[in-house]
Amino acid sequence: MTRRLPRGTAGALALAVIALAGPWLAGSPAAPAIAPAAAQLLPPLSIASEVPLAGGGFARAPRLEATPDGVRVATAAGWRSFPERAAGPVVERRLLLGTDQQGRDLLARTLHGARRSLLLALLAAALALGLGTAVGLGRATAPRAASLALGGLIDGALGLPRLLLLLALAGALARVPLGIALALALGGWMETARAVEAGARSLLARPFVAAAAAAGGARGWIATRHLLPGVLPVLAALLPLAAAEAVLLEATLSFLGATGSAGALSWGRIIAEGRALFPSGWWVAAFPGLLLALSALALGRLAQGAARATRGAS
Amino acid sequence: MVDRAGRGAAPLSARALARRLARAAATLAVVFAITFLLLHLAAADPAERLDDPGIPAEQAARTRAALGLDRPLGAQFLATLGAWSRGELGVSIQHRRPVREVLAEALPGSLLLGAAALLVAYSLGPLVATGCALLPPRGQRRADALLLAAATLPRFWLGVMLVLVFHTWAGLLPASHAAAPGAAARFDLAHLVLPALALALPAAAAIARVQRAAMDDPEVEPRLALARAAGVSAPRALWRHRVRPALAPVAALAALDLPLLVSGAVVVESVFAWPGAGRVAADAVMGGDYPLALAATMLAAATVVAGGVLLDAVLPRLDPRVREGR
Repeated sequence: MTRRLPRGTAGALALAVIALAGPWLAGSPAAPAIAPAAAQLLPPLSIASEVPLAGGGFARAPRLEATPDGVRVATAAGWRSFPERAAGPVVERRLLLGTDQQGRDLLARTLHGARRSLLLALLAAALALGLGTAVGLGRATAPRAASLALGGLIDGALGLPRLLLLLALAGALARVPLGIALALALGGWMETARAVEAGARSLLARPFVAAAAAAGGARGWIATRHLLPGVLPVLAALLPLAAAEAVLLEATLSFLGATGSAGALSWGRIIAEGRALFPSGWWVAAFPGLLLALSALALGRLAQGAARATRGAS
Repeated sequence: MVDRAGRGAAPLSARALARRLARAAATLAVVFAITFLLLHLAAADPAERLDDPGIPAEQAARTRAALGLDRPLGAQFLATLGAWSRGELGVSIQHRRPVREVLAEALPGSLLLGAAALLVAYSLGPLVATGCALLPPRGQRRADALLLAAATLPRFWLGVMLVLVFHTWAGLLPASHAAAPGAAARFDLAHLVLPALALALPAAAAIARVQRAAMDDPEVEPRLALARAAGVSAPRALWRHRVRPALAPVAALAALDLPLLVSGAVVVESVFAWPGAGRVAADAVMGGDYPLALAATMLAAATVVAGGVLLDAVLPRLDPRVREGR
């Protein structure tokens, strides 16, 4: 009998494809090497001519032509000649999402940003789940004092407004590589800990666990051998939810400029740049945000489907 | 059973309440320690920024000493704790004014925005949920999909898009509250609409989802039938078994949304340049303004913790299933 995949799987797979293959499918996210002003803020669906340059990089403009002594670009002030030689034929490309203020292809930037945003979110979600599981199992099995201390830690971390906690964490971890994923994990493990603790406590009441304890099983052994497998379905349902949250929060942090590393491409940063362009160039803020919203929605649907599937299985 | 569920037993005994308050105080103490530690670990150390070559090392050292940043972390923590216990919150580094003043100035804006958002969200959410229940099954499924989409909308992007549509394109509403620096903040309805909507729409969708899930409970039918068979009047049975239990999760959500009043609006306040405590807190945290960041965070944490206590006090009254000892 074939098992039906949980609802939302298709959307999540599409996201994975975007994150992994997107950067190859899209062109270069870089700015044109010459006359970027000619290519700036082209609206979505405009057609631009592009030509690779011998010295590296490329030229992009609504109208340009390659001559033996260089490239000629049509600018607002008439044709301008550049000494850079063309390294290939001039091709016309339709820019689906247009360009930004530096003449960069917005679709390419959005897809390159997708990889960072989605992989960071997945890493953060996995770390948060691992941390939450450890604390949850610890709280269910540790001696009373340690369990109380862990409970206080959970309460304290939940007592901070999520975004302020994340801003402080991002600041504290700004110099650590992948610090933002770590910050998202350290700011998002508490719900997992609660859920795992509840699951583990209900398992502790079951005869096979009581038997293991009566047979002299150590706390750690019971936790990893008997409780952990029992809470895996809970974790499977929590992972997409945690990833959805992480995607949104990572974008929010980079929108606020709290993610350090100025060069890194991410949706939140592109949206912040686009916001600064208003009233012109609305597409720069609109489309990356749309993809962000769709990603969160796809992960949210997967979480819903997974929760339903695990409920049905148990 | 049916009858006992309706009786208004004391929702939370005095002893349980005292225990709950003690736990809240412990939580705030943990929050204080976590926040202090994180703020001092942050790379946005004002003294470090003073290390940039433009500023003479001597002056940097003096500022460091003036801020007390040259002392060991433990000593700084104890000093801060001592000052707080005397009611001294310190002076903001960014604003060069007492923290208390800065926060008192930012609070009215946050309260206004949060109250407006909560009002819209908690009138719109239940309305939408009730409306969905009247749709045919196919329409309900579509509505549920839409509600999930609305609930997961990134608030900052929603804010930016609202500005694009209603300010940039339609020219109907002002985009930001950017008052001249130093000028007293003015509040009017036109400035309030867009930020309140950016806050309220995802919240309303989340409320509607929770209420829909609660009203869908398949266990309700047999309970209703039993109550009717036991001679309970129809409206009474409906209220007790369908409506009131569905209110409990909505009330739970409301308690969790309480921080919106003070700081939940961090991002939205930033997008709309709204003068509120959320933006003050975010700027202070990112700018390494310890005294202000600590106080603003503690204020926000106090609302979170208060929401939790309120929830524990009110929930047993709404949902007999969570009463003590059951």
